[in-house]
Amino acid sequence: MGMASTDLFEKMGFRKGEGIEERWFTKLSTLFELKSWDALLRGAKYLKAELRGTTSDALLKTSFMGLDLLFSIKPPYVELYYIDRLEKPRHYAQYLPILVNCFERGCLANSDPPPPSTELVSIARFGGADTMRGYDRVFASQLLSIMPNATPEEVREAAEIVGGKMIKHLDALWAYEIEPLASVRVRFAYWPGDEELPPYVSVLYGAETLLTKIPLEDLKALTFLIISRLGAAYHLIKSRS
Amino acid sequence: MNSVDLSDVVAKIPKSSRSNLSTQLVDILLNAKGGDKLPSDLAKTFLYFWQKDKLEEDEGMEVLLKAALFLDAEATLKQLKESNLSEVADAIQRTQQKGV
Repeated sequence: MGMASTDLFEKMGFRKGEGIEERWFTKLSTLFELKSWDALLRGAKYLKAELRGTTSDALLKTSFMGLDLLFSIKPPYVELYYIDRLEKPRHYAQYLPILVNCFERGCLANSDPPPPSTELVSIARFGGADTMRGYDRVFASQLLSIMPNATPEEVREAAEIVGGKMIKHLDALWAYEIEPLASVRVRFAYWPGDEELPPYVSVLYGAETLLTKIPLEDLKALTFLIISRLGAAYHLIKSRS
Repeated sequence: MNSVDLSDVVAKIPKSSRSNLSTQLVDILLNAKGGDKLPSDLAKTFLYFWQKDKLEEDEGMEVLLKAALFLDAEATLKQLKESNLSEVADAIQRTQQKGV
C-alpha cells in the first residue's frame, strides 16, 4: 500500500514543485532513512506539520502564510506539491530550505520546541551582530515600501488571509505577529510619520526563537518572505476595495 | 455518492471517535488508487476542511466520508466496523442503496 496519491493532490489543485535544488530533497530523504519515527514526529512538531505513513512511505503536510506544501517521501524519492493562495511563483522554492532545516533541527532535538518568552529581541541577537544590525533597517524599509501607510484594519484583513494576529505593542499604530515555525515568532510594529519624523517600523523576534537555533540566514530569508507575503495579502485586499 | 446526504449518518458518529476515525479515513483516501477520478469539487472541499483542521466537525466528517467511500468503499466500511461503528457502516450502506 502506498501513501500519497499524487493524482489526488493534483485533483485538489496542488501543483508539482519544479526546478528545486536536489540537495533539499536529499536532506529530507536522508532523515527518513536514518531517523526513528518518533524523531521524525518531533521534526514535524518543530515545523508545525502533519506527518503520516511510515519512514519508507510518508506524507508531510505543512503550511506557511497561505502556501500549502505536501511532500510525498519514499526514500530516496521525494516529491513536492504546493498550492499558493497568493500565487507568488517562487515562494515555495524559497521557503523550502527554511522548512527542511527546521524539520532537521526538530529531528535532532532532544526536547519539544521552547515555550514563548515575554522578551523580544532584534536580529542582531542571532549572531553576526556587525553584519546583521543594519538588517533591522533593511527589513523596515522593505515593509514600508511594500505597504506604506497601512491602517490597522488593512493589516488585520491581510492577516485573515495569511495568518498571524494583531497585537498591542507599546504606542505603535499597529503591530502584527506571526509564528510560522514552532517557537519562531516574528513581530512588526508600525508608527506613522508626522511633519518631523518619517514612519518607523520595528522588527522583533520572540526571545524563544533564539533557543530554536534557527540559522541567521534562514531567519533573514524567513523575515523577507513574511514581509513579502503580508505585503501581497495587503495589496490583495487593497485591490478588492 | 457525492450527492448522497450523509448528514444523518455523521450525526451517529460520537465526537470521541472522530479524531481516530478521521486519521484512518484520511489514510484510506491517500492510499486509494484512482485519485484522479474523485470529483474536483469533492477533492477541493476535502482539502478545505483538511487545511482548516475541521475534518472532525460534522461538515468535514461528511466530506471525508464521501471522498473515502468514493475512492475505496470497501476499506471505508471495514474501517468503520473496526472502529466499533457498525451502525454507521450499516446506515451508509442503506443510504447508498437508496441513492442508487
